[in-house]
Parts: sequence; C-alpha cells; structure tokens
Amino acid sequence: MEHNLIAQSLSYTLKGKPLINEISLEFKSGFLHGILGPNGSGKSTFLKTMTGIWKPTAGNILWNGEPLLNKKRQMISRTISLVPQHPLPHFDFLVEDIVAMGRYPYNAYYWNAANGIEGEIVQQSLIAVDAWHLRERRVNHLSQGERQRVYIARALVTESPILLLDEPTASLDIRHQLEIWELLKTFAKNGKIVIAATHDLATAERYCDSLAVLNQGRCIGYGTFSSLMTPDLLYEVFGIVERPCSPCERKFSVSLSPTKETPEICY
Amino acid sequence: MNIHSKKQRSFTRLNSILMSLLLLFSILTLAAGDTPWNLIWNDALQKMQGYSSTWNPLLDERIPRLIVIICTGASLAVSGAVMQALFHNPLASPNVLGISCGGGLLVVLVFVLEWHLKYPFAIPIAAFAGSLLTLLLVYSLSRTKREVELSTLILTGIAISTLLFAIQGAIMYALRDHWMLIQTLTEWEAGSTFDRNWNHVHMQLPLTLVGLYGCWFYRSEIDILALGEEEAKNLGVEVEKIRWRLFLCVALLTGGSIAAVGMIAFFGLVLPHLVRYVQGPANHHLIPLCILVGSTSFAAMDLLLRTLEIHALSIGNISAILGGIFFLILMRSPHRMREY
Repeated sequence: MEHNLIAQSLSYTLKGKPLINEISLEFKSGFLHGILGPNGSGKSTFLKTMTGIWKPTAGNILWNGEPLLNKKRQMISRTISLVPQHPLPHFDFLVEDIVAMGRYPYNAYYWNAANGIEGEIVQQSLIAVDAWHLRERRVNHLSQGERQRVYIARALVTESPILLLDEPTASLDIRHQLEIWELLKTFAKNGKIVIAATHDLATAERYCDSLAVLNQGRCIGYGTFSSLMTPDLLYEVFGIVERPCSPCERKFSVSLSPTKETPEICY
Repeated sequence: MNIHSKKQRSFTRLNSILMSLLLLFSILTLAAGDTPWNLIWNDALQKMQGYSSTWNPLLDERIPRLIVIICTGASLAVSGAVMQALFHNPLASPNVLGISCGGGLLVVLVFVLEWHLKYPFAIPIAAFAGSLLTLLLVYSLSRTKREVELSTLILTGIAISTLLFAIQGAIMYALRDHWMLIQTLTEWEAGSTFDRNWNHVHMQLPLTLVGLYGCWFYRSEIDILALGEEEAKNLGVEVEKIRWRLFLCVALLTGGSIAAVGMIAFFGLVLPHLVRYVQGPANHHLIPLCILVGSTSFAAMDLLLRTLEIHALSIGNISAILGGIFFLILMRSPHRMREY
C-alpha cells in the first residue's frame, strides 16, 4: 500500500521572524527524499515542524489524508521519527537503553524492551546499522559517527513508516557516509518514507529520488536532481558557479580558486 | 551474561547493602539514648496496650524522628535526581535553584504570623507552595527560546535564592527583638532533627509518599526528558504535562522536608551524582538507590551528631559542610566522574 505525507503551507515563526514560510511538499512511500539547502536555509526547522516537535505557526501535516499533528504524542511518534543532528545526551546512558527508548510509544517501561520480542526489534535495528557490538558501551563515549548510527537504530526501533534525518552523515567518514545512505535507500525500498536534510550535492544527486531545495525558509524548487540543478539555482542558493569537471575530480566537488571571488562546483 | 543482567546484579547487590545499612542505622537511632532500653520497651508495650499515657522516648520521639530522617533523606536525594534530569543539568538541585529558599521564606512568614498555631498544616502547605512557586519562577525566567540553558538556569537560581534570602534576612532583622521567634527561626533555618514528633511526621509523610510515588511512576519519562525536551517529544513524551506533574512531585518532596526538618543544603545535589557514577543514569535504578542512599546517609549523619554529642552543629550544618567538600572534590575529579 502506498502512503503519502503532505506538508500544507507549513510555516514556523520565532519571535516574529519566519524560519520557514509556507512550504508545501508531498512525499510518497518507497522513495528517498532529500531536503537540500545551505546552512540556515530552514532544513532543520522544516523537519522539526514536520514532527510537531516545534508546533507549526501555520499550515498542516497530512498523513494519508488525515491531519497528523492533532493526534496524541505517542501516536505521532509511532508514525514519524526524527534522527537529530549531532545528538549528545546530557547523561551517559547505555547504547542499548538509548535504542530501547525508541519503544516508548509502545511500551512506557522501555528498558523491558531489552527482552522478548521487543528485544529482537532492538537487536535487529542495531545489527541493521552495524552497531550491535556497541550495545554495552556508554553513548557519550562513542565517536560522532557511531552515535549517529545508534540514533538511526533508535528511529528504526519506533517502527514508524516515516523517517526524518537531519544531516545524517555530516560528521561521518566517507565509508560510513556511503553505508548510511545505502541503508536509507534500503529503508525507502522497503516502503518507508525517508526524508533526509543535506547540503551535500554529490550524495543528493547519487541517492535522493526527489529533492526539495530550501533557501531562506522558502521552498524554491522541487523535483529530480537533474531537473533542479540549473546554474541560476546553484548561484542563487549556494552562491557558486558551474564549471566542467577535470578527469581526476569528483563530480560536484566545490573549490575556491585564489584568483576568483566565487566558489565553483564542477559539473 | 548481558549488560542488563550485570546491571541488575549490581543493583540488587547495592540495594541489599544499603538496606542492611539503613536497618542498622535505624536500630541504632531507636536504641541510642540515656534511658535504659528495657525500661523504654516495657513502657512502650504498656502504652501500646492502652495501660499508660505517659510520654515514651521510643514511641513519642525516636520512631517519629526516624521516620522524619528517612523521609527527608529520600526526598532530597530523589528531588535532586529528578531535577537534574528535568533540567538536563547535573548542577540542578532544590537548593542551588533557590527552591528551598522559596519554601523557607513562606515558612518564615507562617512562623511570624503565627499561623502554625491556628492551622496545624500551615507549615507544610507554605513549604510546598513556596517551593512550587519558586520552581515555576526560576523555570520561566531561565527558559529562553525553546530550551532551558544550563548557565541561565544556574544564574537565575542563584539570583532568585539571593533575593529570597535577602527578604528572609530583612524579616528576621526587623524582628530581632522577638527573641523566642528568632530562636525558633534560627533552629529551623539551620535544619534540625532535634525534638521531632508525630506532628512532623503528619506534616511530611503524606507529601513524601505522594512525591516519591509520582517520581517512580514517571521513571521512564524522566529518563527520556533527560535527553532534552525536543528528544522527549520526538519519542512520544507529552512534555508539558509530565514536566508539570514532576514539578509538583519535586515541590512536594522539597516542601515536606523543609516543613519537617528545615533547610538542608547540598544533599540533593551530591547524592544523585554518586549513584549515577556507580549504577548509571537510568531512573528505574537511580530512584530506589537515591531513596536508600539518601535515607541511610541522613540517618548516619544524625547518629554521628547525637553519638558525638555535637550540640553546636545541626544536621543541616553538617550536611552543608560534607556536601560542600564533596562537591569540590567532584568538581576537581577526572572528567569521567563529573559526567555523572
């Protein structure tokens, strides 16, 4: 069955300043959707508003045609789950406890999730992100990349059909970056709606089935990577100009030549 | 053996040790005194059977005092642990954030207006209301944008407690000629378990039981709230509703101990750190251990004071001195210890 998630004229204003402004987008299950934009463009605000963590000042979120944010918090968390950017808990919980907390929407006494059927869900999620061996470690003693994988495992444990990720690979080495994106692609293929905020053009081109480009809190483009990435948009959003790639260059790598004022992206 | 079995075993072992220690200190608290034990016991038996109505040291002083000691130690340690999780800040405690000062100020007013003579429950109600109002004031003032910032919270707490302390000081200065009242207030302010009776138990026990039950009931929510409010919402916790209920529980626990014993500093700050260091931050272990560590250490301090007959110091003074020293050690200890 195909599911859809619709953001309808979504706005969020803080102290009179609109952080996102009337964003309308539709996301379908089975696809990996990217939210692309420079720092401060409103990507994180958009994701937090989608989950209701920040209450939208205007607009609506529809899940299969029904308003999502009117439901009880536990029901929302069963439907939509966010992996935060740079998670760092204030107290040093065990990895297994942090992941088991993802079962809270189903079982208030989450630590029981280490046992029985729920224990299997926790175990499978940790194995899926290659973090089973970390389960007995303290979460603040992990590297940023390991912690990111643990938090993705926690989002999987919620069994929510919608997975939102805020810069999921921002602090990972290249191998783990590729692994995480492949994993997200698999989740999408298995029927989830996966929405990942990123500012990495190369990974967006390679992995995202569709892209929404945000700039200064507004959505200025939605479609496939090739249809969106025009020289005008690249300059408007990222302030960079296009140039052809040299043979040894990675596609979409950005460089700043000492003789030029504007950064260039090879295309 | 997995980590949960190991943690459970360590929790059971710690529980047994602390329960044994609490039992030992309780027996010593009941037994310590000048009057011969057999005399007290026979008199107590007669009183319980209704043959005597004379004052009995065991029934009328030592048992109520023991209950007050256990309630106070448990209340302060648990309220500290809950506040540290709620504010996701290891420096939060009823004392540091000025909550005790708020409760204390209203209790001083009750003493000054002599309402405690007219209304038997005026002191616990004032202590609870003062604690809750101060907690809400500190929370609302230190909340900027969406989260409570660590430095703002502590500074707001210090500012509010200084202000409340100044008002309390001004009241006491204005009444400096009323010797009896000043003596009562000084004894109460220093935190004392001396001369506690069933009235104090009636004032404190209901508040403590409801407060502890509330904290225990919301133990998983406290864990998740310790990750931060946004994370808690993300995981399905009704943050505003649960936080408000936990504020009530903290105010009940703090108010109860202020009403029965007076001001006790540092206790709620230091003990949760120790327990977290040994057992980790998960509240299904932290809360029971804080109850046991709190009541055991409070009973030990009381016993120490009485055995050594140190009349110049109150239990509040000893707690502040030991807690202050321990806190300094904690601040200077390696990073790993401070993380808890």
